[in-house]
Amino acid sequence: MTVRGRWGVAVTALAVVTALALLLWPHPAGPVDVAGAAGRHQVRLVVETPAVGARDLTVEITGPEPVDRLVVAAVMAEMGHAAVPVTAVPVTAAPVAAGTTAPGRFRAAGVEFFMAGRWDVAVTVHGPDGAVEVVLPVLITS
Amino acid sequence: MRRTSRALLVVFAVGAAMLAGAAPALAHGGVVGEDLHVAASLGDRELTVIVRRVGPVPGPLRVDVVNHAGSPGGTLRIRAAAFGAVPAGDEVGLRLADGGGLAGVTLHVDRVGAWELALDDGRETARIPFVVPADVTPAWQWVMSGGYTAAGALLLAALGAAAFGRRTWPPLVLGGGAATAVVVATTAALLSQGMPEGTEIDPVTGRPPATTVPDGAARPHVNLLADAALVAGQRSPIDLRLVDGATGRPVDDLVVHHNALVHLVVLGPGGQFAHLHPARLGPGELRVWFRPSSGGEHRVYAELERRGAGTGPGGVQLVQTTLSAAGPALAETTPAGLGDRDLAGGTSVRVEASRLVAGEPSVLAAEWSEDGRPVRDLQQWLGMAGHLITVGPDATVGHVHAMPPAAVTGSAAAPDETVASGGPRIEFVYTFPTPGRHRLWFQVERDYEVVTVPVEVDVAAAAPRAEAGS
Repeated sequence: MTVRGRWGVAVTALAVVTALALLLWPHPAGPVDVAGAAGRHQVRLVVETPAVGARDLTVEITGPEPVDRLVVAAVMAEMGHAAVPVTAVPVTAAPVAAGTTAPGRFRAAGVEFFMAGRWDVAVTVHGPDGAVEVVLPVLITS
Repeated sequence: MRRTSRALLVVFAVGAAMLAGAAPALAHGGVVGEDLHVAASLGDRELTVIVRRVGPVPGPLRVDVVNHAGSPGGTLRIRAAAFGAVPAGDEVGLRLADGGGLAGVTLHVDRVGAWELALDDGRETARIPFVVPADVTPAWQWVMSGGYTAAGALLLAALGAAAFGRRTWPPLVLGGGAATAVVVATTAALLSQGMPEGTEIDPVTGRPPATTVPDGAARPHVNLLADAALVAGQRSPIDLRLVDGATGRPVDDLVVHHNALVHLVVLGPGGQFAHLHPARLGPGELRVWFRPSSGGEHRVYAELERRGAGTGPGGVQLVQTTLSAAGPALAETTPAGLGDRDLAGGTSVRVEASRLVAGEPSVLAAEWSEDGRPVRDLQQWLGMAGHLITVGPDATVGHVHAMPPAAVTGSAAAPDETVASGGPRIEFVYTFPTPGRHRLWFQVERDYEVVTVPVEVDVAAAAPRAEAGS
């Protein structure tokens, strides 16, 4: 085999190893984006970094009724743990006038996911007619 | 020839660098089994028995016993026996210190599988089941270490052939083999990151499951039978029998759940409270000694978990019964509500709660201080920073846990009861299901003593719920 051929073999082997490494290298989990309906509100929940620790959650609410207060409470049913509920702070104004459908954006800061696994995040929407709730699943990785 | 060798060296160096990157996966690959903590009341003693993680079998078995404050010292006779076999080794005496502390003995285990640890206090023998797991090396680990070993050997052979051989092809073939081995080993190391930690171990045999049983099927319900001749003010035994609801056979498949086989909550007629951990004497038979402070009917709740199908969990059950005690029924003094209160020994506690509305999660906190300084030496009890038991007006029972800080930071290693670093604030989150007057008991451990703080709170009714859906 020529010198060039040998280099070819070596470079090919290196390329194969590099390609496999890039393909199989563990990637951090992507954001969790789940949605559901709480009464007449459409609720969308985004967890940018679904990993163990205190995480900031974004909640988008679309609905015909105003939102007085929005509480995010995470529960890990498997282990019987409940995290401290967090009252979300509006980022953009929630729909105030009846009939509007523009989404209101809320941010819940520091929701403690203290273990890896399946968490159920209850989003409670307090409005003029009382409270409605939707429970959305979030998978937390270590 | 020299160039080929150099190229191969580069390939090998890259592989070695990747191995270094994948190292964390190796760390938990071989770890099988963990320390087992079991709380048990044996006679007059409140004990926590810690069966340490077992290494290769046959080998030593380390058993530590935590004695609690108020439990007398003395000697326990301890021995380990494989299930249905002659005990391995002799009985060993374990000297317990008065007033709480940790003492340990080293026993010997000679086989994989189900074992029983017998602790004899001279009057009763508690038998604690545990499993010695087989030390199973996962397949990927074999592939990885084999691959790198082969790569090293092949590389040396290639270098040797290049230096001393006359033909051109052997170093190339050997070097190609080395590269292939590196690729295989690296692939295994990288794939292992996505695999579950450890290996599944059958809780009966201690070995990887022979057949795959679908997880998730729950076992039948348990009937609780309690037998006792209780007299107010006297310490006497409560004998418990656990019977399978489908077959009538003794229930002997309990798994240790929150560091005990059974958590027993006894509520007296005047709101008296006790959180006990019966010791297992034999299959389906447990005993705990109890001194009721009042006569009358006592409600007995037993929280337990059966093994599930396959290696899966079986779910927790709360079974209940009643026991009556002879003597006059006494009403306990009504516990205080939220706020500050002084406890014995200069300790005081401030109990706080966020708005208490039925159906909404509430944060309940107890903040501990001693002579005005915050307490920072609370110990973990039953693997948790604190426990909160709630009983509602409609007899709903809640058992709420405060996670220890180690778990919050994501550390896998659970510290012992001997580590005193908790406090001053222990927080619980609980959603009261019903409005009305609820009685709560906050429980933490300090100086090997379980401190119980009873509290009474009023929970407001929820605002009328909006119609769900439209």
